[in-house]
Amino acid sequence: MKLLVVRRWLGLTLLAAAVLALVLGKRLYALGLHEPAFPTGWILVALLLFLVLLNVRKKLSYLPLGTAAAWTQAHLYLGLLSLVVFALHAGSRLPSGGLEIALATLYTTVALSGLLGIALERRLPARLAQRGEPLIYERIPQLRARLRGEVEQLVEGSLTQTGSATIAEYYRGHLLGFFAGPRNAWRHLLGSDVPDQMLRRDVAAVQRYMSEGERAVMCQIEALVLAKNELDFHHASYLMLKSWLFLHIPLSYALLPLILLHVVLVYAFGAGS
Amino acid sequence: MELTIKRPERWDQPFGVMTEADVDRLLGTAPLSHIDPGAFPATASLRDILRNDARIQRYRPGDVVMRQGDYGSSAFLVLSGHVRVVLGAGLAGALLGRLQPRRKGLLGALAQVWRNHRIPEVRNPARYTRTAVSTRRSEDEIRVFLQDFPRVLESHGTVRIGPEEIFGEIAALGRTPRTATVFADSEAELLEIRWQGLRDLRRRAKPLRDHIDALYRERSLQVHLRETPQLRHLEYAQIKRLAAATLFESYGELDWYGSYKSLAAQSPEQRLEREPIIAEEGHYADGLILIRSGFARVSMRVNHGHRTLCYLTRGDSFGLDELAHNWRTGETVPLQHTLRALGYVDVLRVPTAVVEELVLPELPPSAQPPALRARKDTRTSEPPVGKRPDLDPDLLEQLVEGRYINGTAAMLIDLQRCVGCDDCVRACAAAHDNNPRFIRHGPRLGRYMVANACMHCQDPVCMIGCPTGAIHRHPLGGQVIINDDTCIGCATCANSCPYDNIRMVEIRAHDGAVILDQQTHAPILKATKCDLCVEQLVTPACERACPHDAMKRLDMCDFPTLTRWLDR
Repeated sequence: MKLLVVRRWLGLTLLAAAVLALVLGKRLYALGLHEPAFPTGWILVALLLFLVLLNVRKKLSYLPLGTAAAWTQAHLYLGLLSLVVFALHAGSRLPSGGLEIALATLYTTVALSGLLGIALERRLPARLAQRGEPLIYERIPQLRARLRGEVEQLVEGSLTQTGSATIAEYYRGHLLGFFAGPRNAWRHLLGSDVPDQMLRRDVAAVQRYMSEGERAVMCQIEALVLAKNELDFHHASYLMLKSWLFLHIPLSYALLPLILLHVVLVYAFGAGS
Repeated sequence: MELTIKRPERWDQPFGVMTEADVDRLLGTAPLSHIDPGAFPATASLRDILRNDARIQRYRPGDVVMRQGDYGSSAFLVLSGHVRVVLGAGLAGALLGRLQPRRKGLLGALAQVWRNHRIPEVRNPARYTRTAVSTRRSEDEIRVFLQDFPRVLESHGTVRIGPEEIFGEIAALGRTPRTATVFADSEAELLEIRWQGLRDLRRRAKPLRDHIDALYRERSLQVHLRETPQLRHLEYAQIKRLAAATLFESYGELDWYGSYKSLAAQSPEQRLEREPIIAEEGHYADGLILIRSGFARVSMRVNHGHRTLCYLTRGDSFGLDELAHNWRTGETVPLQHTLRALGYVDVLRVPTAVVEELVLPELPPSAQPPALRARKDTRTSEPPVGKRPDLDPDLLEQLVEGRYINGTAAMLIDLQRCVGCDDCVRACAAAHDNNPRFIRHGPRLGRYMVANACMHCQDPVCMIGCPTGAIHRHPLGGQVIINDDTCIGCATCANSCPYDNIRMVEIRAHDGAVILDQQTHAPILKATKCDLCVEQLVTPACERACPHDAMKRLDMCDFPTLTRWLDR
């Protein structure tokens, strides 16, 4: 069996074992007439603190703290485990009171954004690898500007070359906005080939009424249009791969003071005081 | 429309400026005067070789001629004066312009959090005045000299070499590191011969060939043979006999990196045609071929093309399967595969008769090649190639064609796992004073990308020609590193690197001001590249920082690790 598959099975088995141990532990604890919310709460605190530490590990890459890949694996499975612990801690009741609602909402958002991140990181790189050369996200605007320059050169050239303004008018009416910035982000993310088909159909429709010379220029423009479409796909994918973290990480940090406040309040006014 | 130019020829760019009087003088100087000019063809006469592939270099006392550990592509003949070869462990690294890398401790590593500069490429200019290496300009060359060379003489064992003696030829022809440091003992005049000329001289001039071969036989052949897995079981006397019968051969071009980029634009067939054949499929197996240095491609005919089966490098052998089969069965099965030189390769050929007499009878059963299996086509069999990597055929072809097989720490990125987070780039920057030393971009080989990061090549062509020895191998780990203190920014290494993995950068003072040359006011440049985090506590930062296991630094000749990573 392949190494990564073995690793996945091992992670899932350990996760299942931990979940089982927690569920049984909670029951046994409750049988002793103890309040299980305390141990589950502290386990949850410990888990969330560890999960936040991943970002600290990334910043201290030159210290012997283990590989980022090992940390990420631990982050992933302990993050999933935290969902179970949160459920055990909160029980079946809905949160009540401002702090509890804020805490639960924030945790749920962090967890959901994490799950979204897992899905994106599993899906998008493989799709990107299948479509063209790998790009550096920061260079995409430059590449877009280059494509725009090339297409405008062709359009200007067509005025003198063909003696007709058809291509120039088509460019102004249909393509100027397309080349100005990223387009069809959601469609690209959903894996739709509608943008590609629409562009091809538009170009084919306008070519029908063109002269031989205009058609030759239009063929070159079509190639640039499709290249821009690929660029948009890369842009949308990389943007998504980066932007989910802008939700996940700040909210994770925001969770910490609320947890602290929750603990203080529980011990100050709750049964554990 | 056509544009006609004169066809480029071998000597369009001579090695140096040589007058007819210089050549006349050389032809009258021993040992060149002992060479028979009649042995050379008219198209590459002895006179032409001396005029175009050699140059006269003048050194002052203390000038370093070559440094231990350097890679060079030329040999030297002493014309007048004397030079000294440093014996034993050699000179201290600092005297030779080497970096003295010290691994950081835990606190040193942690201190990078606040010590790293925010401005790129910050240097302390005072460092450059404290270096132990001194340089001076001589004609159009930079010379490194030992400031206190009488003390070097007192503290180190040396051997004096005088007129008519040659040195540096084995490293030049075999692309191996120089084994000793040589410096001028007096005003000295040396004839420097580049490898192309040296190769021709060796081929045509029997005394020179005998001299070089005898030196190699004496110094390193027996060690090489003993290190060869199939010969390890032999006794000393047998190795000695084997060494005496071994033939030396060289194929390809030492300066292959010059044509690397133009070759990349050619078709696979054209590229294959440019690779000299060492042994051809279907021909008689006339000996056991041992790779001494460089790389060779093993291929087999498939339809109208050739399929690459594997690549061989130093320590590998070719032809043993057929030799063993023929010896065991009495048949005469020809070679089943073709062996071609990739770039430049030095081989040793042990004749069949010697292998049958000395090697095969002594081969332990565990080392016996398996019997050749019958093949479906007209040829006899398909032997297993001992080192055949279990790689995707397309990937194998691309690795060989792109010469990525040269890398001992090539950065491979699995594009199906890489999310483009750039954590690797940030970790690299953090480990290098906030300056990333690679670009997460590069040629794509299927689902993998070979990023623009120094591969720490087995054949480090970047190290050829560095005037100060600033680029060198780490004395312990063998990583190719640059001593920033002694780099003069000439860009020889960056221009030589076929993979574009060395970058010239403008350096800045602590306040961000670009540091300029006092005379020309041009920015001071320094060569920079990946050093595999040689000074860091944990290495390499890039690989350790990848959260998705998408990147690995790989030795392309370590097939078990390579295939294990690719087939995860």
